Formats: sequence, C-alpha cells, structure tokens
Amino acid sequence: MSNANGRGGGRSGWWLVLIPVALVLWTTATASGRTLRHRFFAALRIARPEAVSVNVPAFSGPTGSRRLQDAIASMLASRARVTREAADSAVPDSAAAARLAGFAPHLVAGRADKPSFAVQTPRSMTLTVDRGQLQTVMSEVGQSSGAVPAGVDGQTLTIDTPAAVIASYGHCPVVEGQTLTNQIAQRPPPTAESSDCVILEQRPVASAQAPPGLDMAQLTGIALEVAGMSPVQMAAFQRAFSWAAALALTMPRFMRSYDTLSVNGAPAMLINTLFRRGPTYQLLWSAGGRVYVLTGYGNSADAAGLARTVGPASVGGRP
Amino acid sequence: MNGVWIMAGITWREALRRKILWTALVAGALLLAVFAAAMHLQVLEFQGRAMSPFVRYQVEAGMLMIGLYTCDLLAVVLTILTSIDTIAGEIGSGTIQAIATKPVARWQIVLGKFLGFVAMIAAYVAVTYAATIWVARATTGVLPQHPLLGYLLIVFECVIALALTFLFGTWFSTLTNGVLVLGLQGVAFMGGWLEQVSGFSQSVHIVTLGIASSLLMPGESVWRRAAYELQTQLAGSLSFSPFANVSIPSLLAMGYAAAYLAVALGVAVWHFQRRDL
Repeated sequence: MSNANGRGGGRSGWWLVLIPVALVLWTTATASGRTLRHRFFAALRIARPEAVSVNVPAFSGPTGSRRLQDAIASMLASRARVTREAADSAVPDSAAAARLAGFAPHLVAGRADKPSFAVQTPRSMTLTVDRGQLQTVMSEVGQSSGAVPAGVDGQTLTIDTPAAVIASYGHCPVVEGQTLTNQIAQRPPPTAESSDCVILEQRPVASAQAPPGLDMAQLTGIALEVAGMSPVQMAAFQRAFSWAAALALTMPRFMRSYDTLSVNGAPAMLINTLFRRGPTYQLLWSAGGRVYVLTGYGNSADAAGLARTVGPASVGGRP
Repeated sequence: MNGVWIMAGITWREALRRKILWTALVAGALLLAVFAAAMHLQVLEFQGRAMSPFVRYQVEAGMLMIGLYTCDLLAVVLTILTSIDTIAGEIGSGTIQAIATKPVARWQIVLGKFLGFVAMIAAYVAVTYAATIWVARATTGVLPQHPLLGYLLIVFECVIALALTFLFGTWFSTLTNGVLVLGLQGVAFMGGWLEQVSGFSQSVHIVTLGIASSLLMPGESVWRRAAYELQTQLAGSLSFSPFANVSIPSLLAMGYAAAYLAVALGVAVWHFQRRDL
C-alpha cells in the first residue's frame, strides 16, 4: 500500500552508499585526502590529560622508580614546568664528580673495586597549585576531612633538587627506560653477573618554596600512598625522612616488603623490590643533610653492612 | 507537532502494555543484585588487609566503572531489541497501514515513535544508572566524578543505536534490522576495545582502526567519553581499571556522533516518507 505521504521507492537511496564509498576512496587514494583524514582522525581524540603526566619521564632509574616530587606535582597541578631538567653525565673520578655536583661524594668502603661515576645535574620545577585537583586527590586517599586552604589556589610552588653523584660498583646492567615498549619487548632480566652490582646515589636534600597553608609533610604522605605505600608503611617512612629528604628520593615502582633499620645512627628503610628486570633491594637513609640510596642486585642482607661503610672519599677516589 | 506527541504517547503506552520496560527493569535489578554482592564482598575482603586507602579507593572506583559499563551495555542492547520491531515489524505485519492512513504525517509517525522510545530509554537508564551509583555509594562511599554528564552520554549512546534501528527498519525486515544494528554495535565494541588496549601495545595503526570503526558506529566512543567524564583525571591516568584514559574521544568526536544520529534519523524519516507500505 502507498498512502498520500508516500512517493514510491526507487533507487534514489544509492547516494547513501556512493557518498561514503567515494569519501573512503578519496581519503585513501589521494595525498590531499590522506592528509585530511589524518588531521580529522587526530582531531577525534584528545591527548591524555596531563594531571599525572608531568613533562618528565614517568619512570626512570634502575628500579623503574618515580620521583616523589613528580607524584606531588601531579597531585597539585595539571601542568608542571620543569625549568631546569636533570641530565646524567659520566665523569672519570670522584674529584670530577665533586666539581660538577658541588659536593664531595661519599663512597662505599666495603667495596674494594673501583666505581664508575656519573653526575645528575640539578633540577628545578615550578607549578601552579590547583586546589580543586588537590581536594579530589585527598578524598581519594581518604583525607576528605582535611580541607585545603582556599588561599593556596593559583599560588606557585617551586621545588629545587640539587645535583646527585651516582657511584656504580661491579657489573651493573645497562639501564633502559622503563617504557611500555621496553616492557613488552621483554628485555632479559639481569644475569647472575649483575649480582655484584651496587649503586650508591647521593644528593643534598631538596628545597621547596611553598605557599603558606600548603602542608608539605602532608602532601609527601599522600604522594607516598599514591606511590603504593600503606598507611603503616607511610608512617614508618615519614619517621625516617623529612619531607625535604623525601622530595629528593625516588620510590621503587614495585615493593615486595620493607624493613626499618639504622645506618650509623640514622634511621633507614630497606625496601625489597619486586621487579623481574631490576635490582633486588634499595636502602634509603638521610644523614648530614644528604639522602642516600643504595641499590643492589645481590642479597639484601648485605645492604646494611655496605651502607655502614659509606664515608668520605680519600685522595684517589677510595674511602 | 501534535501528531508527534500523540505517537510518542502511544509508543510509551505500548511499551508499558507489552511489559517491555518492566522486564528490562527486572533484568537491571538482577544485574544490580550481582553488582551489590560483588561490592559487598570486595569491602569484606579489604577489611582483612592493611592496604593503602588510595589503592582501595581506586579498586572500588574501578568496580563502579565496571558496574556502570554493564548498565550501559544492557541499556544499548535493550534499546536495540525493543525497537527493531517498531517500524520494520509494523510494515511487515501490515499494522502500519492502520496508523499511516490516519491524518498523521509519516514523519510524525517516525519522530513520534522515536521520541517515545527516547523517553523510555532515558527513564530506564536513569533508574539503573542511579541504582548502580547508589549501591556503590552505600557499600564503599565511592562516587563518579560527573554523574549527570555520564548519564546524558549513556542515553546519547542508546539514542544513536535507536536511530540506527529506525533507519534500517524503514528498509529491511525486523530480523535483518536486528542483525545489522547488533553487527554495527559489535564493530564499535571491538574497535573501542582495540583502541583501549592500544595504550599497552602503543600501536598507532590500532588506534586508527578504532577511530575508523567509531566513524562507522560511534556508540562505543560515546561510552568512552562518558568513562572519561565519570573518573577523576588521576584515576583515569593510573590504569587501575580497563577504562583508563588511553585514547579519549574529543568534543569533535561527540559532534560527529550527534551529526551521525541526526543523519540516521533524517534518512529514516526521508525513506519512510518515500517508501511503499
């Protein structure tokens, strides 16, 4: 049946097929079409939000670790400006390392072999506080009752991290960026040869110019929880390290267990890592205005003994 | 426009008479019962462990997203199943002749039925969506970030599927209509998830494939925009759930989806005007 509204069928509907087919052909067969298609496809998706991806590599170092200050930056602001980025450079000896870093490095006297040295240059990061974002993060870690003062919104926070000296002993594996591609590519785990590898990283504690009302200790605690620590672990960590010391540290990406101990009277935390292609432990402590991270690929039972032998280098680069 | 509202009212009453809405709500209630049990068990599990409140929150928020996604999937499937018969079936059975001979323009029939279904879907999604959020809130205290925007986007996704069933319903039989729309939904589903996992494989080609499939059927990309709006930026970027921010549809993609909906409905009206009944 055909009523008054109907005007019959016919083949006029073919344009509904022809137009899309012509469009597909044009956007695949011609250069201008392909360019337009790429632009259009790119415009259909937005880049990942930058709330937690500050303009620095997310994971770095032998443990695929994350700088605690980056976790704090990601909580406070959607964008952080790294005004001075740290860069690693190899140096021949401890004297050269001292010249470049601005302080004389301590070395591991418990190791008889000669270390190789690298210096990580200072880093400075500036960010503008987003109060709403911080409030959201606080509610996610169960601290919704702690109100963030309204005055901090839009204020600037600057974190300065001094240079670090990295002394590597033994047969240490080449550190590759812990990108997803590298993980998927299944780089082989460190060989047994790497079990003698020990890396001592040391740097003066970080400093921060924070707006009044911004509790840096509280922020550091939240960042530790975001990094995966339980409240008990976080409390133990904060007993061992001030926020300024914590800001200079990197946290292992995977933590199997931890233990609190003492290194020459200074409280320390031994973290057993859970990373197939990385080291087995990290021992962190702070003394004399510096933070130390002793990373090892061997038995974690040796860590404390080695750490207690860390001291000033004598002439010639030996402690 | 009076004819449109009359047809919308008839469609709504028809849905109630045929118990479509009620049976859909029973299915939704079953789903909620499973979701509530899962959330409760998860809370009990967490009580015995010393774990970071942040990690706990993220896991629970991830479970809420799974609940909302299931709610979304059920709504889309019900939209398709309940509407494939409305035009194609009435043409096939000849019922349409009793409607189309009355002094109601054909475009009013299509638009009226469409609005009737939109009202029904909006009501259905409102009930199941709000109940899912309520269960999550009551058991864990977790809430989505922009619940109203999320709700509107889920309804939008359903309305796109609805427009397609109307479009194909003016051309094909009920069965063919169902196969076509569910097939397109399947393409969108696969494209969306391929695009999502591209974050792990970092394959540009898979992202392109996902975008191309979202052009063919933009429903899944609308859900992924909803997932983006429902989570905090921090949660979305942490990969705690399968709905992490990997490839997020832009506002232009939402504009494309709206244009797609308008074209599908427009062509459905145009073709229904022209075809023999």
